This record gives sequence, C-alpha cells and structure tokens, in this order.
Amino acid sequence: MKLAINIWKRTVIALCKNRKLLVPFVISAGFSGLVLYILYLAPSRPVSLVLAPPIRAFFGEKFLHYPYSIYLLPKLFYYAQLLVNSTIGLIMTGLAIGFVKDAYNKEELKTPADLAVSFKRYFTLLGIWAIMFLSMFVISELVKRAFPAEANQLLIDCLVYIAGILAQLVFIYAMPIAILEKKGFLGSLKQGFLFFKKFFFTTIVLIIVPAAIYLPLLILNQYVPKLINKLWPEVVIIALGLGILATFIIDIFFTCAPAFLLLQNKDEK
Amino acid sequence: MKNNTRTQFKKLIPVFIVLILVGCSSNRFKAEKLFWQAEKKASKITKGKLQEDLTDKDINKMISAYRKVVSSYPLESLAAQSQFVIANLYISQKEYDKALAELKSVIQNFSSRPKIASAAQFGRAEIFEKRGMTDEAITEYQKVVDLYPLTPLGLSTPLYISQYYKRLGDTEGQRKARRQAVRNYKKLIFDYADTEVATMVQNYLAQAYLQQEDWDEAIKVWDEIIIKHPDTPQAIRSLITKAELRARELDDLEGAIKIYQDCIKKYPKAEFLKEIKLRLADLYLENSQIYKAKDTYSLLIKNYPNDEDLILRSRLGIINCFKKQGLKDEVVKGYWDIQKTHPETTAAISTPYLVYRYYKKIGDSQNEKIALSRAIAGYEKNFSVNKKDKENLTTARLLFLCYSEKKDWDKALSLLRDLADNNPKDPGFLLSMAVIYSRELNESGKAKKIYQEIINKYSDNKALVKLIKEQIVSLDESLLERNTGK
Repeated sequence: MKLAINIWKRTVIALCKNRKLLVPFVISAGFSGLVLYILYLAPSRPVSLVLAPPIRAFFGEKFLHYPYSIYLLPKLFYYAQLLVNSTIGLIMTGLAIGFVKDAYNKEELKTPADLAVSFKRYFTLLGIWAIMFLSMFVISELVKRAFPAEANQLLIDCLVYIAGILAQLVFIYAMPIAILEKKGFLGSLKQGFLFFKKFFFTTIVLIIVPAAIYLPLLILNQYVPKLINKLWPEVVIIALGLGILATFIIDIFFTCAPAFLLLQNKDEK
Repeated sequence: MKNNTRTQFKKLIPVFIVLILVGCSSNRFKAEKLFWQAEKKASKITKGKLQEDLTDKDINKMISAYRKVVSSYPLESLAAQSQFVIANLYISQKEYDKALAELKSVIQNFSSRPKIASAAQFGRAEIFEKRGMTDEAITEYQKVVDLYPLTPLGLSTPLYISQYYKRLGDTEGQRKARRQAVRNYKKLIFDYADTEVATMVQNYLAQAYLQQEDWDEAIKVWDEIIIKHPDTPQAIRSLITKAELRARELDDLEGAIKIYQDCIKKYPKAEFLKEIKLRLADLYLENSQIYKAKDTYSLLIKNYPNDEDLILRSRLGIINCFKKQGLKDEVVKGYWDIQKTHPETTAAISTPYLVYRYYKKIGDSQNEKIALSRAIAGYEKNFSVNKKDKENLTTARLLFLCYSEKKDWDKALSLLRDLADNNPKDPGFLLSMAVIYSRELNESGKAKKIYQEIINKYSDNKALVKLIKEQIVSLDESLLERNTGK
C-alpha cells in the first residue's frame, strides 16, 4: 500500500512538474472526442457520404434518422474507440512511457526521440494490446454469462468492468517493458507477467483505485434510458463524453504508474 | 517568407477542420430533431386523453410545437408532415378554413414533390367531403387526378370518386365517375404505351372494371398484361387475380383451377409457387376433387420438407379432405399427428380442443364428452399460472374455452382471475369475467364489481373506461327492465 501511494505521489509530482507529460493523453482523448463528434454527424452530409452506407447495411435505414442515430452512438463509438486505441492510442501510450522515463531521469522530455521509439515498437505494442483486449473480452463475456438475464444489471456491469480491469492487470507492465527495455512481444509479456507476480498487491491497489473513477459512470449508464425519456436523446452523448474524460484520467494512471514502478525497481536493483 | 506562409497555413488547418465539421449538421437532421420534440410534446399532452377531452389550449400547444418545424425548415419533408398534423388538429377544432389554408401552403411549398402535394390536395378534398360540400370536394378530387396523374393518389382517386358517389347514393354520378375513371386510365395507358407506367395503370383499369362488375372487361385487361409482359411478376399477379375472380365472383371453380394449373406449368420458378400450389389444392378440395387435393397436399409436404408452415397447412388440408369424405378416424388421427409433428405450434396446442369441436360438429356425443374431458385434463396439466410465454397463454385460453363449453363457470372464473392477476397489462381477462357474471350467471352485482375493478386498474385507458361505464349503464338498465317487468 505504501509503495502504491509512493508511486501515485511520484506520478502526480511528475505531472505537475512536466505538463507536457499530459500531451499524449490529451491527444488520445481529443481524438476520441473528435471521433464521437464525427459519429454524431454520421446522418449529415458530407460525413454521411462515408458513414451512411455501412450504417444502413449493418443496422438499417432507421439509424440514419433522429433520434435513432443517437441511440446507435454507444455501439458505433465502441467500435471506433477500438480503432483509435489500437492506432493513435498505442503510439501515444508509447510516447507517454518515453516521457515518464525522461521525467524519472530528471531530463527534458524528448518528444521526437520518444515518438520515434513509440513508432518503432508499434507492432509489439499492438500485439500486447490485442492480448489485453482479448483477455478482457473473454473474461467479461464469462462474467456476463455467469448471471441469469433477470439479475441486477448494475451489479453485472460493475462486475464485468472489474473483471475486465483485473484481466488487463496481468499484462499491465508489458507495454512499459516493450518501450523501456526494448523487449520483443513474447519477452515483454513474460517479463511483465513476472513483474506483476512480484508486485501483485501493489499493482492491484495501484490500478484498481483510479479505475474506480469509472464506477459512477456505470451507475449513470443505468439511468440513461430514463434520462432520455425525461430530457433528450443527447444525454447519450453527455454520458459518452464523460466516459472519455474518465478514460483520460484512468489512462494517465494506467500508463504512468506502472512505468514509474518499473523504473524505480530497476534503480533499486 | 515561404516558411512564414507555411507556418501560417499550418495554423489555419485546425480552423478549417472545425469550420467544416460545424457546418456539417444538415437541415434534414435538425428538422428531424424538432419534429421529434414536437411529437414528444404532443404525446405528453394527449397521454391518457381521448380526442374529445383535448382542450383548445392543448391543441394550440401542439400546433405551436409542430409550427416550429414548419417555420424553421419549411422546405424539408418533415415540415410537410408537420403541416398535415396541424391541418388535422385544426379539423378536430372544426377550424376547416385554417386546415384548408395549411394544406394549400403544403401544395405551394412542395409543388415539385408530387407525392406530398397530391396528399395535401387529397386532404383538402376530404375536408370538403366531411363538410358535405359535394361539388367542392369533387372539384378538389378531380384536381388530384389532373395535376398528379402518376402518383399513387392520382391513380387511385378516380376509383375513390366513384365510391364517394356510391356513399352519397348518387347512382348516376357513380356511373359517370366509373366511365370517367375508365377513360382516364385508358388515356394514361395510351400516353405511356410500352412503358412500365402503362402496365401499372392497366391494373387500375382492371380495378375500375371490377367496380363496375364488368368481369369480362377486367379479365380482358389482365389477359393483355399476360400477353404483353409474359415473364414478369405482373403477369403472374394478373393470372392469380383472374383465377380468384373466377373462383369467388363467378363461381367458376373449374376455370380457376385451370388458370392455376397453367400458371404452375408456365412459371415453374415463380417466387410464390408453393403458395400457388397450396391454393390449387384448396380449390380442388372446394370443388370436391378430393383425391387430387390430397395428392397435391402430399406432394407439397414431400417437396418442401423445410417449410414448417406450409407442411402444417397441407396437413390441415388433408384433414379437411378426410372430413369431406366422412372418415372420422382419419380426421382425429390427422389432428393427433399434427400434435406430434409440430409440437411447438398453436395448431398442436389446439389439437385436443379441435378434436372435441369436430366430434361436436358431427354429432358424436359420446366421443364429444370424452374428447372434452381429455382436452381439459391435458390443458390443466400443461398450464402453469406463473409462466408468461405465448404457448402457456394459448393453453390458458383453450382451457377457458373448454370450461365454457362444459359450462364449468367456477373453474373458468378461477382461471380468469389467475390470468388477470398474472397479466396486469391485459384487461381482457377481467372483461371476460364480467361477461360470465352478467350473461351466464345473471349476477349483475358481481359483474359490476369486476367492471369497477377494471376502471380502478386501467384508469389511464380512457377509451376502455368509457366502454366499461357504458357497460355498467346498460347492466343497470337491463336490471331495471327486469325488475319493472316483474
């Protein structure tokens, strides 16, 4: 617990001293926001020229009209988010880990050099991301199926979210290792797993606490249909926007804290 | 200098992107949003109210919500839709002139979109018709025909005018209108000869002849379509319509059978071939060609093993053949076979009841009693109060029918009470209870109690409450009549 608090402290101090450390996360969140806006505009020209045919083919003409286009946004945004996370998101994660290393060494943040490393290690990062996504997906599906259909939806959503986070934890150090120690795909996974085993409880505390920021959003999501009925369908966009904001904060801790722990452990050795 | 320009250009890129995206939201989308808001407001105002309960204030609120769509995006099709709603609201307030003006504005704004304009023109004619202004109504209807001849309304209005005269009891006007309709369609066929439009209009022409009960002329039109466009869906449709005309209007079952036989021969790959074959089998049965009917049904079962619905209908067809032959045992065996082969279907669930009905119909009172007891035992075994699936509800309804046949009202009422408690959204079970109390048991007091329960439970459903109140009044009246009669 003490170690976890120490790492959080380090992360917050590094962020306060080097505001530039926030840039990769701002860019990722900014892209997500832009994608959400573009999806919102899907029924209107000129965006509809590109997005209307697949929406029509997969979901039906109805979803190109108000308010159904808004109701479809969470689903579309989920798929778009996968694309953003696996491209720009990964490059920015790599850059952020590079920045953490610079900050830890009390050096100036070297954007071009760190960005170059991130690009070079992209496919390794993509492999790790795919493994993390798949394990999260499989675990979430298993949890979903373990409950009967009439079970409390909020409880299921919370358990699915927590199970998904726990599934990702096993591989949480793989990306920092791929960037900081320039290990290959399997090497990063293996070393990351061993490191996770070594710092099992610290990692859980380190990640679960910031991840809890998302829980109020899960509660809000339960009330979205009621709010739509009482207010307007645009409530969906507000909920998704808050989701982007929460992800932005969680991502900072998910990326920086493990990298700091890794660097600190290396130094102590 | 060059570098400076490049830097400035780079700075402008995000501004361009933002400008493009901001300008993206189309008028159609914005109009849809406003229309949705208007619909929501209207449904909030009308919730739980009958048309006559709406006050002028309510209606004006709704009009102003829809008016927002019209004033913000007057040329969007949703503006026209809003104006149609507004016109209807004016009509409900008996503000006919305002409704007429609203529809006129639609005609003006959407003159380039004949489908919308024709609907507005037709709406104006309907208002005159409603007000009993026959001449004006006819003039407006004629405008639909003259100005928008190729729209669905433009094509169907000549037939409508003739029906209008019929409703007025004006035989001469109706005769003239029919002649006028035929002339109109013939002119269009001439003007658009050898195009798809001509074939479409020919169908309307056939309809006009049917209205005149001029069967021969209608058949001639269909024959023309079949000859001119032999390999089109229209030709098949014409053949089927011709066959049905022979079967239903001309009592010429032989002729209808011959047409269906030709159709199957000519179009072995037709989309609805199996339906055509099934209809042919039904016609054989109707024409007492039992063996041919049975063969055709059997072939359908053999040739379409994956079409559950078709097989079921064919099996029922074969049972009907046995019924016509008087083969009692075969009929009953056929029903029980359906229960085995199609266990999930309504027909299978209904089998015990259908067997009972069959025995009742042929007057076999001994088997009738046994079948009813067997049906009740089976349904009682399969029915579960707590299950809410469709099959369970069907079982419950059949069990209720069986109890009613047996006149076991105690059990019927207890079953209905269970169903009413477990299906709180359906007032039908309580209604049936009230009917049993009032009509079968002559217990008006209990019937009134049930009616009161319906009023309390479904107070939001104004139409139902109104109906129930009427029932209570008529119950009181009949009670009074009975008492004074005594």
